[in-house]
Amino acid sequence: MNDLLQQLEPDPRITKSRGVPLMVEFPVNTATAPYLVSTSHGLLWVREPLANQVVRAAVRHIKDDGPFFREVLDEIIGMGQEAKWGNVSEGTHKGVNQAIEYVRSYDLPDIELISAVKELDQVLPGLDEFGGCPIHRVDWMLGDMVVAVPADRSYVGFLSRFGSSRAISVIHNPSRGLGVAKK
Amino acid sequence: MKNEGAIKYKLKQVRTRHLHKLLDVSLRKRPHNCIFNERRVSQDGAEIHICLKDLTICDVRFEGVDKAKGCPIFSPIKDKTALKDDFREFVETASRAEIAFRYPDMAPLMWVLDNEDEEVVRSDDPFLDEPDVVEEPACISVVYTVPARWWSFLFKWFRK
Repeated sequence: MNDLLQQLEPDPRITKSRGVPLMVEFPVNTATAPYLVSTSHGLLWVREPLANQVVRAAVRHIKDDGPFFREVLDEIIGMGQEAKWGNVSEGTHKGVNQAIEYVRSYDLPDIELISAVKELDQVLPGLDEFGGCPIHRVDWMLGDMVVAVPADRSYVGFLSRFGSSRAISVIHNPSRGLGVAKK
Repeated sequence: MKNEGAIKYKLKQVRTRHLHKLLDVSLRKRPHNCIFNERRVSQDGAEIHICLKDLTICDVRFEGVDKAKGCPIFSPIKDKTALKDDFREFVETASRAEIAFRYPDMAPLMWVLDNEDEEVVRSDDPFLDEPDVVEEPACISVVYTVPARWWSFLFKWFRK
């Protein structure tokens, strides 16, 4: 799969009667904090759910998935380094192995790598597979990093579209669902 | 499925690993770990770390790492016992969300143990993927249940 997040169809009942909502509440489990949610203009880290165990995400303008996925990655890399989660490694073969191991430490069965197209990839150029994980080449990724993700993206988070230019997103496992090897 | 003992063992392993990491990082001879090191801000806003003992610059940007490594008066801000106590207190008193933020792998294990007596959610239940919309008078808000697969997956993962 070439997407960073699960593409989730919004429930038609949400839009049927009232159109596109401004904000949606999603029940979460406290043990999986923090969460990265879409706001009307960007992304927001939510370190703790509200008292009724929900997080709120807003519908925002997202025309193309690629730039949004890059934005999500930048946020997760930045916070991962700041909080020292250990999910960001150096952009070498060793670093990619560490990124895979990071995700694998949660016993996730199938892990995939997402990387830039072969011509741009500076970390794993020319490879189709590494460390037993298939490499998916995507045009939205920059060449200086490789991302290890579970094949089942629902473990990471989702993006749900309302029409062609608006969407809502909750990344409910940003600290566990991704391992990044970055130059 | 992992039994309670196996989960507790894994939690203990994870907890020990985090404690060792904390001790390693906090007791390392670095300028910012020394009790005599203090941050000072000059009038033009520039900040620098100095040693209050010998009133010299001791800053990582100015060879402070080497200086601290060989410093005879280096003294850690907290000793091993205090750090261990802090860690224990944090794990025992912090909210689950705070623990999850700082130690992503620890909180889910604690959560599984909390829910040990509860019924395991079956991931093949077709109703789990059925979103639940709660109509509310306020037009801007709807409650939408995330497909439960990722939760149940996490749950299954610990129990396999």
